[in-house]
Amino acid sequence: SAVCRNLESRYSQHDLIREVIFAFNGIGGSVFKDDCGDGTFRISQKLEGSLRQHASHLAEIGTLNFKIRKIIDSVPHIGAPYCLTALVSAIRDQLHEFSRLITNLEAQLRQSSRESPMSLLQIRIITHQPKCHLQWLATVANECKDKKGGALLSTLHMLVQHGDPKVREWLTPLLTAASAPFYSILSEWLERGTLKDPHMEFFISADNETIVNNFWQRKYSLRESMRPSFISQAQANMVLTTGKSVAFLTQCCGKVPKDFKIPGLQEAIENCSDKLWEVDGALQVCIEVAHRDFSKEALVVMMQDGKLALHLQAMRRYMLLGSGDFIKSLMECAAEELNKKAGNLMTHTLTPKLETAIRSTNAQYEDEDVLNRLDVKLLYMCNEEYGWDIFSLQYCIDGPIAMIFPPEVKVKYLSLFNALWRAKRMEWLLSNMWRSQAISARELRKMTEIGPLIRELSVLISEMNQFMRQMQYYLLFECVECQWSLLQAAINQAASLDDIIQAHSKFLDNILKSCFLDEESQHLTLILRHIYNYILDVCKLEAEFDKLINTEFQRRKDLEKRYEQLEEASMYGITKDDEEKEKYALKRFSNAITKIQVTLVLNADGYREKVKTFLLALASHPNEDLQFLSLRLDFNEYYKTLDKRLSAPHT
Amino acid sequence: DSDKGGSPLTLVKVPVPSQEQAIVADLINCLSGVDGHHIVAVPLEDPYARREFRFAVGMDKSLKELASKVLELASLYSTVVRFVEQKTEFHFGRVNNSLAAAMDEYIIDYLAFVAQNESQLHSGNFGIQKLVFNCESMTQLFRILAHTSQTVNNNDARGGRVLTLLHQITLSMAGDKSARDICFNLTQKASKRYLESLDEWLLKGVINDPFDEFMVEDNQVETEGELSTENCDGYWEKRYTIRKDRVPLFIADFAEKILRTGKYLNVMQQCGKRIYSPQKSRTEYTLHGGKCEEVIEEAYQFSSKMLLELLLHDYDLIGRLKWMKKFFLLEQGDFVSRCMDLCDETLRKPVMDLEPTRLDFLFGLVLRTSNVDTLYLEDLHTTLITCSLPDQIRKIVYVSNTDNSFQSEELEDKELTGYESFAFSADVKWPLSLVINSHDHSRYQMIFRHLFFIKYVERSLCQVWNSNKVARRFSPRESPLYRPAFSLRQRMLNFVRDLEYYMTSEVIEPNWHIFMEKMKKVSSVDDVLTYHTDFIDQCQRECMLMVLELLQPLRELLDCIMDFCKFILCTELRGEESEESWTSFSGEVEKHSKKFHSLLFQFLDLVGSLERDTAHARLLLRMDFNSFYNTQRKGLQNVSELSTTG
Repeated sequence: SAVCRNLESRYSQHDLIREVIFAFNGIGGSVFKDDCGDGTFRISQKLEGSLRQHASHLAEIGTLNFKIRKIIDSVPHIGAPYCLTALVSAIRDQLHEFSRLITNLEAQLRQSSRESPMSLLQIRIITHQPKCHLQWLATVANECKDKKGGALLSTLHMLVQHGDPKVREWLTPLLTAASAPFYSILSEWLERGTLKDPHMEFFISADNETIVNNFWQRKYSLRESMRPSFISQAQANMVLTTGKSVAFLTQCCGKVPKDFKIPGLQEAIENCSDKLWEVDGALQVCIEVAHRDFSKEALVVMMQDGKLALHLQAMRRYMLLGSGDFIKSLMECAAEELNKKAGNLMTHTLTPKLETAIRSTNAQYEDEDVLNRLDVKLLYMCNEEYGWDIFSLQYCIDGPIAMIFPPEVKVKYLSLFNALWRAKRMEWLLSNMWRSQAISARELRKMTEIGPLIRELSVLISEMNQFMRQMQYYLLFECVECQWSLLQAAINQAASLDDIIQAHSKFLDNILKSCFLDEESQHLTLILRHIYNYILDVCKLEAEFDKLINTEFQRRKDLEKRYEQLEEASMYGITKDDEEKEKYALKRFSNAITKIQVTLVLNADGYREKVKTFLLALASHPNEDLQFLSLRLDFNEYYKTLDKRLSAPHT
Repeated sequence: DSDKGGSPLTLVKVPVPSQEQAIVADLINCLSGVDGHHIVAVPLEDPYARREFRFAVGMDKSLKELASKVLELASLYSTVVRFVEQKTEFHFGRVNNSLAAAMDEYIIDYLAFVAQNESQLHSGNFGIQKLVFNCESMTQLFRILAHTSQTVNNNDARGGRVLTLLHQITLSMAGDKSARDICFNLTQKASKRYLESLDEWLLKGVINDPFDEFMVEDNQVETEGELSTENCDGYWEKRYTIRKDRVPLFIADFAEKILRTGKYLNVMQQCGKRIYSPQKSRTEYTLHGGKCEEVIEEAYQFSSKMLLELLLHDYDLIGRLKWMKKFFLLEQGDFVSRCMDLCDETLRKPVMDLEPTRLDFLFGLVLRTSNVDTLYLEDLHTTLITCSLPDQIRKIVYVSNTDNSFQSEELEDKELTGYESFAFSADVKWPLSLVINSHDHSRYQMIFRHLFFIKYVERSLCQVWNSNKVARRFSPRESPLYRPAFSLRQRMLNFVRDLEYYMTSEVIEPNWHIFMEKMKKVSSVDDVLTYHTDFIDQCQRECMLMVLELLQPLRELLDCIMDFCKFILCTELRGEESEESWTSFSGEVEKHSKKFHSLLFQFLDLVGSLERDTAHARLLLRMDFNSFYNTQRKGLQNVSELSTTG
């Protein structure tokens, strides 16, 4: 009967339990058949009813054990990523605890008497929690087997977040163990500035190809995939900059002692356990302090040894035309050379001009170091261009300080110099023109027939002068000077090199933007170029005109002298031939004047048209400063009355 | 928990004592979650259903009755085990995980209890009666557990909602001490992780919420870089929000406070101050929320105080408020008149013809040439508001009251002049915009526009006075003829100046004084917010900018004065007028005078009809301090009565 069968099975329960214990270790027997090879057990048909259910429940433990061992055994002892190896050995430790439990069970089984035999139910109770534990280990092993470094820690950290306190208790040691290699990479990075990370497990990567020039911005970067979830982006950045500062100080300046230790870092790492990287934890505080100190030190090195302030100042004086007397002198010295075609220009003929300009102005009192770095550079040549277009100054920077001025920054300086130099030249030409006009005005008053032309010309020149003066004021004061004072303030407040680099690139970009050199203002540069061309044309015209009237004036003067001489000699000097000649000369002169007048009118119209276009483009520009510039250039609304489009509201 | 199913072995023709022994063994199996020989579990229809059992054919009836009692426990156990197995999965969140872990502890006790019964069975002398007796207290416990798990399942709850349910169950068990203890234990354990998150939020402003359970949600979308440049108006309102459904019941009353505590900490961190509360006490689940309340209050006081200090010291809050007053409430007098001198020509134009950049430019000139100190000047801009002042009030007052009576058709479609639409706008940067928020800012603007317009009216009247100076040269015969016009002008001037005096010296100044006194003793950011809102509210109300019924007549009155000014300035005063033009002039003056007086009387009546104790009473007193208008009105009434009767 059923009752008898039940009793029978109780007798065999002792053997069954023995088999269960074997099965825990993944070993099959007559009841638990392990012929599937994947760690699962097939339970013999002999076992029925409740015993079968209990047995299959217990067999799962063996399966779990088998699976975990399989996964962790697949990780090689040598050559596997550090964090994974550490995790595997921690899991092994916990499995060892489980083996101890099995051994104890076996001992209990031996001692159990026939009066109080062990039942499967009892074993179930004993293994209730260990089974749960194994399940979690299996989850961990499964989730982490293909991961490494920061990603692995992220996964583990996620699992530790489970609400069950027991789970936390089991998994925290795993996380602590797995993060130990990670933290040792971290402390190496923070204290030496080196990355000992052969398996690329850390959240910072180094690009060893990078040349020294771009050391700061390019060499080290965040490896986002390896950033553990318990480290925020800001914290990661802080670690990156700290290590970078240390690397800079050791590699470029040799400033950090070999056996340097960040105070409290090791203790903080040891104590952080499952709390990891709390926002107000010891580790965070420690890193913050290190970040502050090293940033400061790197900054001090840069400022004192690298004379950063001096170089920035030099950049502004020479590349951004801050030093007016020098620039003017340079322009005068080099004008002759620069009037040549671009193809005929030689650097070595220009260098002496630069020297002359330096020696004749306040630039001679400049730091020797700065002057040595100043040089002439000819930009990319095109035969259609003149020397003016390709001439540029350049300021050579080397050594650690060069990382503030990587090539892209130098390019920005060059293009700024070009734009400012061009504007300066226009202003210079116009004031020269104004001067020559003023000088010759008195003498020419006698030639009444060219009066209207002179007036027209001088009106146009002063119009141009006004325009260029306002432009110069805008460029040199509103763009460069204002941004410079912002940069100065930022440098004074800077706490790290990054601050300075950021402020500097903001400085440059803002100037580029307000000098119409950015992407969205290219049309403005184009219009401005047209305006400059008109100025150059008018300049040429004026020279032509000047030459013309000078020869004419001289001719008339000579003629008058001749008359006077003839009169003194009481001779009638004027022959019919002479009269014809005079008539012809006058006619030729007036023809030439008319031609100039026509060209002038054409130029003036073209110029005014372009200025209006420019004003309109400025007024409708999204940048508010440029709208202001438009107002400034046309303050008395002269152009506005000329053009209806300008008076329409732009906003 | 097994789910095999199968048919139970028959017990037909088995004697009752043997039946009993077999059934007890089976029952113990059933209690441990596996099938017996004669009692078998019925497969479940759905995962949350109650576990049923089938008995063998031929089982004794009374045994069946007793067995059912034991099986109730087995069935409850099944429900709880299923709950625990399910809720321990990750995606159910940490509160459910913790709850499952807490229940699992009872399950271990339970299994030990079953094993004990099993060994008793083996040692013999163990009948079904004894088993039933043993099960009784355990059944009681599992009823509670099963009830709890069913409640959670039925609501499909997670996170804060689970805690709310648990709290409710705990409260409902108030009568039964042991049951309440069990529930209390469950709730306490389940809430542990949640409250840890709460502590982190309260003390550090950090949200640690990997499974979307916490009551505060961070809606950050923008990166930090963008934040510094954009106007963070409303940003902090939107950044952190409370998820109502995730707030546990026992801290529901403090939800707002909790939100603000962490938010303030975040504000300070955004400003580069790393401030964490040094507070030692932590939140803890208690039946009546007392412990939580204390901790929350303490954390709140701390963060509020720190933020206040930050605002007052690092961001010069008082200075900012004074600055706002200086420009928006026209404290800086020379600046206003200078502004009117320089920008007059521009501001007279219709607003559509104005160039904002040009105005800004002129305004920059005004600032540089007047005696203003340069503090924060870069944050002050001019702006042109294209809707009229009454419309702006309508928008703000009615919309904020969520009164649906507001309709866009009500907006006046009037062409505004520069004077009417001119206003300042201040770039109030974070975190000061916490105090001077956009709503307050636009109220400052409204007061400014009102004051500025009145100033303009006064200025126009003064211009009239100036141009009237020519009348001095007129012959004694001519000049008296202008007297009605001049006296009307004087009355208007008096009216406008009284109005101005009232607004500045009787409304803004005293209220400001009160506000500043309060600010000296302020202790938390919320107080600052309240005081500031009170101040600006009071100013707005007493300047008659709160209710349109009062503002409209006043505007009409001012418009009437402007009309008069225009009329006088257009007419050239000459010594000798022809009879004809003279009649038309005096007729025109008479018309203006009549309109002015009737509007003025209406206005005075309106003010008079308001409550006596308000500041408006003072206005009335000022307007008519010597009862001039009162007597005049009586006179007028008499006249009109006479004229109607006559």
